[in-house]
Amino acid sequence: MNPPPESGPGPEELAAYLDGALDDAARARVAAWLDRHPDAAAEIEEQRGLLAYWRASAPPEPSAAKWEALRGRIQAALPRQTGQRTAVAWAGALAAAAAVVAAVLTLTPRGPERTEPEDEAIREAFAEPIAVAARGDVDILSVAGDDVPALVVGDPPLRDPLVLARANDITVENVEPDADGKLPGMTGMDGEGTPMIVASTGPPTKTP
Amino acid sequence: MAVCSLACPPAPGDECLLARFAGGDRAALDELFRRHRGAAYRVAYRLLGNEADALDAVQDGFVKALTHLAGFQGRSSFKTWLLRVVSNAALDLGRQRARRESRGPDTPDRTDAAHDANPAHGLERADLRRLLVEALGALPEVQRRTFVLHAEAGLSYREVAEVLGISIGTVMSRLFYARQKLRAYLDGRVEL
Repeated sequence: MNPPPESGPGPEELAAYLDGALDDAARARVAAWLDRHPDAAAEIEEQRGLLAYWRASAPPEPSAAKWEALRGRIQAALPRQTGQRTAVAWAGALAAAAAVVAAVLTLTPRGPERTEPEDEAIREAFAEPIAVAARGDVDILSVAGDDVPALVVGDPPLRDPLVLARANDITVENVEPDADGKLPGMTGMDGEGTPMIVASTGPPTKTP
Repeated sequence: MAVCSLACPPAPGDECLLARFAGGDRAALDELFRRHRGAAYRVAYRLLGNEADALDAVQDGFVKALTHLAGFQGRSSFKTWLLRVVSNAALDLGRQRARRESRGPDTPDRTDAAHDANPAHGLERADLRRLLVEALGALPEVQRRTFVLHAEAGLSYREVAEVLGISIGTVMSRLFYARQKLRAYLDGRVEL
């Protein structure tokens, strides 16, 4: 019987290998696997080259004047000190309340309005897909062949046909007829196709 | 959040500076800005591709981060909190820009090339940055953001997971696939 297909490191492990984030044992295991899989090893080396280009293309820093201007804009955009802000806010609200209410009633369209923090919270809530499961959280026990391409997480239980036995693995020592004196049909015993022994109600198709 | 009412040590931590800022000390803001502006700018630049938009995103990010400190609540470091807000701001700005069809990520800011240290290599570096911005633009947004936070801001897997609210395993797999796609985009355009 053939040995099961070798399962290699997943994308998480390969990323960690490239980043030097694996412990010694894991790093050695991945390195040994890459030695046996030159295509994957080439991919990793090209990704290493990509990161080198990334580091070499660091954006230039803004000038000191631009930093200073940015600092000033941030300072200006922030509300006043917390304690003072509270008092000012109350006084301003009382003074402007009547005019604001009148303007809102006459100019603002009816209907619910969202505030900026709510908008931001909604954007943040849907900025990322809802994480139901990561790749390693899912064990798929069975899946119909046509559905395999629809898998978005997890690996199909069988990547390749499961080879249980080949013709050369089987030696037929004895075949006895059943109670009706009929012998079972056999196929694949000559090395062609999948070896099968099938109980048949018909005349024997092959004799041992 | 601890209230720092006494004089803080010579190199106060971010928490102390935030407490001082909340108490009205504007100098604390200057120090926070000085500490974190570089990483914030580089992340925004990588996501947007030009200096002007990156500075706008940094401004938006700092203002939002410091006016919404209730959302921070000390659950992560101020740096990761700030980078989350800045990267959000950068992506928002990028979407707005795309809708306006103004200068896009594949049109490099001409002033950027003038800032490169070595004039002889300045154009090459600018071209490479432009290519990388194009390649990043072709990634799904979640992969783009994960990659930039790790590769540019130098955040660890755990810190990126905190920023984005995802598992460490998801960070790692996104990094792998982002690198794979970037590599494929650059294949044939540069020698890797």
